[in-house]
Amino acid sequence: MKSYLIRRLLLMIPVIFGVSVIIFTLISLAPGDPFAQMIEANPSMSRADYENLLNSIGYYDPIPVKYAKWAKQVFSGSLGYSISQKQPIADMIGRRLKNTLLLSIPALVLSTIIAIPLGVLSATKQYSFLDYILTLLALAGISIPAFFLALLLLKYLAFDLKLFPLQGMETIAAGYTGTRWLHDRLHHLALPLSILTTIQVAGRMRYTRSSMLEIINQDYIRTARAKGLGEKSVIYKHALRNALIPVITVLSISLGSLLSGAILTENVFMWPGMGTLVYQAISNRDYPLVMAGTMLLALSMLIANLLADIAYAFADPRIRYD
Amino acid sequence: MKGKSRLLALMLVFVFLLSSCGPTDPVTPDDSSDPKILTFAQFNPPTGLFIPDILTTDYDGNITSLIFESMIAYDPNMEFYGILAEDWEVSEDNLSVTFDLREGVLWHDGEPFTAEDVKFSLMFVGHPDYTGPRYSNVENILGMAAYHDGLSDDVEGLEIIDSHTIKITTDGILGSFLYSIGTRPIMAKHIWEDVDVATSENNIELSTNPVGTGPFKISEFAADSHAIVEKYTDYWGGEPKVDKIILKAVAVDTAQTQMINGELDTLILSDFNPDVLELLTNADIDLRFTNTVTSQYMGVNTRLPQFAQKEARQALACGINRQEIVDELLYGRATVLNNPFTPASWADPDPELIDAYEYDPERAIELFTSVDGYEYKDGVMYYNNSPFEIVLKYPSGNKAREQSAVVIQQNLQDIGIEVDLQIMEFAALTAAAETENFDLFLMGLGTSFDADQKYIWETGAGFNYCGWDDEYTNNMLDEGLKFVSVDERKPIYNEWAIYMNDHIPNVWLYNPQSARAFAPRFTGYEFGPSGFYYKMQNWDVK
Repeated sequence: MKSYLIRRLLLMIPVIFGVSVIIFTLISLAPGDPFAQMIEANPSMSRADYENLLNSIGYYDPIPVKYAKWAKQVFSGSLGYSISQKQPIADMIGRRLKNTLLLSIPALVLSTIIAIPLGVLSATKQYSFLDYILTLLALAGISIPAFFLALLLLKYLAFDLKLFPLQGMETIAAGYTGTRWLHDRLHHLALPLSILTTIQVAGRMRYTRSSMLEIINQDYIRTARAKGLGEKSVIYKHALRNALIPVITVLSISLGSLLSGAILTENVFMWPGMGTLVYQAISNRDYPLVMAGTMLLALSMLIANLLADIAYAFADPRIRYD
Repeated sequence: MKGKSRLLALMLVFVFLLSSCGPTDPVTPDDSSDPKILTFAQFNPPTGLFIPDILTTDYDGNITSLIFESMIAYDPNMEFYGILAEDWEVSEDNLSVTFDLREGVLWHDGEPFTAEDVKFSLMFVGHPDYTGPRYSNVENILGMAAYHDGLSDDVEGLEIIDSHTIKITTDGILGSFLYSIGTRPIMAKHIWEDVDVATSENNIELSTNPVGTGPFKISEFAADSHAIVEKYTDYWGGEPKVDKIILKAVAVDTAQTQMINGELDTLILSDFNPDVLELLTNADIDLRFTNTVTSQYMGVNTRLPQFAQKEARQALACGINRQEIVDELLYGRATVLNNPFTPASWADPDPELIDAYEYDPERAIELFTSVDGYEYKDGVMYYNNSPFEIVLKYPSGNKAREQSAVVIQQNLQDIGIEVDLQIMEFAALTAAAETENFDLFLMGLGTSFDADQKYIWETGAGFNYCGWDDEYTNNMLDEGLKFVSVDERKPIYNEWAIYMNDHIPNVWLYNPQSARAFAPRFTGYEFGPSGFYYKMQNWDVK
């Protein structure tokens, strides 16, 4: 296991390098520059001023030179400064990362806790009324785009009934402290979290159900029942453990999208997270910020895959990495 | 089943707990003893770059507009009025302006404001290591170019007469003097003089703690979220009536709803849909509309032989139902444009004197066929014996503009021209325009308040995407800059505008109005083409 881990971790280095080269080349080749948006707002800016800005960020350097400059900066331990916001990128990402994880980790945990039991229930009671209702709900959950569900909930719960704030992470300038502060934060978190959870429950429940159904019809389940094991033991000990393997794959993929998966929800709720940061960085052609953001996403995806492989070994004793 | 209902109950309790008390909290004050707080909305959070000479987005500009002041500015009627300058006088030879600065003005940290601050601020923008985009505003000051190139340490055109009088001289007559130089925000010399100019944009300590002379001073900045300013009690124009202003980011989708809910006190309106406006007025919200100096136009590649003759371009203008675009897509809240100036500009000529290019497909066909190479038969327009096809590139983002591309496509189809629509990101479109890789494109233009348009129409100018190369234009634009007073400049620009209307190097589409919503409790504001940052000490909360 140990040598396997080391091998996998070492393998990440060339992968990360390759990804960085590809992303860097793509974003550099994309037409446009970081200051194009400024023209529309301030067209009286002279061409010379504009060229000065471009030269100051080395816009006209050949791509390999640009890449080398960027890589040098990364190796020196600094991610550089954002072109559009002039701030150290590490600080910007640090803040955003925290906000996104605050939203996406609870959503992942909650949705998994809800989805797996519902999926099992739906499979064991196949073609029952409950199964149909859950299937219908899951279908609805998968089909409704997150931003639309968000707007619907905002309309009814936040605007009409005024149960929740419309957006943001906290009440600005209220000066809350202690439990009051915690309540305020949770109050703001409730709606975006429910939306993210709902959307994720739908998909994960369907995966659990189909994987469970496949197992339930296996011979060894019939054997377990034939030798007189209790239904609970059959389902939860014998069937669920095997059924979880594909679910773990799905979960690990969601783990990789912890940072980027909430972008639509973040947008509607003005939640200052990673998704909106990277999205804005791309449309502003903020090259160093795009690189830092996308590399972080790539890294989290790689780590998620590794975690999935490790988790297999725990869920399925037949899988060994030696 | 039992487990499920337990879970459901738990979730209900959770929702109940979270929603129980929030909205009844006394977050917004309505008691007169409570502090008066206004909440302003913008669509992105401020980035914290509160240095007016360096910042590049309105999301920071909205904050510095409350904190910093300039010598003079436009009032809501687009006339100059003095802020840090009590009076100003243009010299006989039109080369210099002497500003009488206000005495007794204190910076937010208590230091007195003097002519040194003005000189320092203008030199900051001209410094060899300056990284911002505003050098062109000061480059005409006598001696500034040498200073900018590092050839001298001082700028002779910035002459301090006494502690509160400064005489600024340009190296040639600069028509846009009062706008370019007079409206520059003034920074505090005692704060900035020892700061390295090259890295000032990354100086977070200074940029997030701006010190100005304006009616409000910074009180709090939370990255990715909001900024709060509080009243400056020693403001020279009198103590502001409002205690605090919160500037926070709101989502475009829910901003109007928040306005109706009373969570916001002012908001820029981007959607003029009458249904939405009615919802707002029903909530007693004051909607103010104003003319702007921004315009939307269709760029035409005049380098291409098919568009080289003015008749072909006039034909395009007649072939597009611009009034319908204004009426249907902008709900009438715009004016069809036919020359480089908008009705908000003093240089806009009398509409009687110019061709309105009203929608007239027959005239369009007539104009096209009057040009060599064009032929119209059986409902199809031919150019050089093959069906005439045009590519129209347009940027994503502005809804009305996206939809107007479709109207243009249909209108031109009606006179037998095939239009291929290509939507792209704004950055990609400017790249296409710069590399002359287009037939037609749609873009917006926010001209400056001054009439000078050299940066658009002079041969080879940076934003001369259409490739307009015309000696008469070059001469007239030079001529217009030879005087400082509007009365002398006006006839020159009027004459040029009439000429441009006839030659129509691009097809001007419309000049949209801009609008702002003000909450019923917000009083004392004025709104004009130059915005609403005017006499802010009078703002109040009912």
